[in-house]
Amino acid sequence: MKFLVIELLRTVLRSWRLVGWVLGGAVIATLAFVIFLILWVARGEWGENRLIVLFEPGVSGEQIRQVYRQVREWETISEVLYITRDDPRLAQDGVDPERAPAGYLRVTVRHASQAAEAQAALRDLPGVAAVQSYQKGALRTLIASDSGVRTAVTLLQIGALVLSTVVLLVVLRVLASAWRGELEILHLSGVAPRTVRGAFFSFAMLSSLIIAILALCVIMGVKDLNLVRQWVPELSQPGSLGYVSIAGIGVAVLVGMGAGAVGAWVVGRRL
Amino acid sequence: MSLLVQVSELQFVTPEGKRILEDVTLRVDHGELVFLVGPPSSGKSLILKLLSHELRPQRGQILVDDRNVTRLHENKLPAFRRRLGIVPQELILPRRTVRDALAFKLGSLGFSSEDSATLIEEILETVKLRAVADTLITELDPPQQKLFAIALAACHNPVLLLVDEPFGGLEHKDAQRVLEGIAAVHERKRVAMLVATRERGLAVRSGARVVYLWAGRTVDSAPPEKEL
Repeated sequence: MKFLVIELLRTVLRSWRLVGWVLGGAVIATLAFVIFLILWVARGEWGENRLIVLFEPGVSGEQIRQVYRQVREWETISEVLYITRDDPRLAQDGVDPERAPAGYLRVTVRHASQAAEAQAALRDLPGVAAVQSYQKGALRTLIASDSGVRTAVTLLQIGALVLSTVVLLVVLRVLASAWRGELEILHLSGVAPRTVRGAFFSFAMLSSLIIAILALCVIMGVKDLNLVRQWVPELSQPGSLGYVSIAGIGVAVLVGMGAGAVGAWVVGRRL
Repeated sequence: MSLLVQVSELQFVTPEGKRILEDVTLRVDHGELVFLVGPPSSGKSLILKLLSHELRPQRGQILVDDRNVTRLHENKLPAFRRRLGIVPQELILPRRTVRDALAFKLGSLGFSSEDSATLIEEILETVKLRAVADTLITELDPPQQKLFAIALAACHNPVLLLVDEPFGGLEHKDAQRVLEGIAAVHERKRVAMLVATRERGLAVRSGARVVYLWAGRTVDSAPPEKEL
């Protein structure tokens, strides 16, 4: 099967027409997938269980550590980080260094529903000046405010996935058509149909993987644009880089490859 | 010579109810060249398709290479087909050079690149296509395309070569060239060949055994000339 996959790639690279189809398909599928991923991040709950605890001027590092040790014991808290003034995460959290001369605490609540309760409890601790909750982006606020918008976003996400799958399917059909002669040779030679389907399936998987990675690269590239920061700040929030690159890559690759599998299955039935 | 193909009491009726084969009996030994001669639409190609398990008969027995083809399970079909070389009447030509297409087939069957290179040189020399080895198949002349199809079917050393109407659409001189190619492959590879054709003259002149297909039956003696 490896031989056939390499031959498929060679066939694509030898023909400008096929290169055009594959590149065009990749661009469309990538854009559709970028839309899917951005909407997926925007409608999620990520970051809503995160609180920033700022202290009053004059509170020392040792006093902040005492609060840190206290909060760490709370049942509802999953993680507490003491971030000092010279820590790069301070900039990521968007905390003004003047407001945290001795540092601050980043508190993660187990469930977003417990955030308000935890916020109130943190405010009552000694030396605490303010507890900031996560700021929703415009798109997430819009999605949360209206069930009609939520439905539209769901449909848009499904549409983006269907579009990626259809584009991949069309590219596979064009490739199968360009391989009519080769397919007949394989048929006459006694190469098992499942081997031929497997080659197309592997090609689709490889394409999907590349499309998913390209989509993530696009997101990484645009996340700092002003427009994106205003509408989907979740993409550039603290930890979101790790968030997108671990959970996002997992989802992107799985969903993208799922779309590829559907495309390959539809084409493979006709081989 | 030992038995390779044994067909007996073969009957085939189309889904529309038209009886094409009535009672076909055929024997091909290992390494033997046999011409199956008959008029157009007499069922020659059909017999080749039945032998390669493309179609199934309603009645009769087909033994090829010790396998009962009529009862061959789909799972075992690829392995069975690898023992055959099939030359269809019209081959869909890939957009590749002669050498590249042969390498594609051998590579897809799992041959190493070294073995492929050896087999390709051997078959190109046999069918006298070495001079056009790096030419696109679509740019070959018609007899060269027929010879390419035979080379493609024979390059992996099958035990049986099924050749369907290799002289179709060719002028006499070109048909003679293809016949020489068939004889050369048979001589060099010692492969059993069943060649279906309506060209009785060429078949008889080849000196090989000729079996006639007439009114759905195989006969050893030629039917009247005007009927073929």
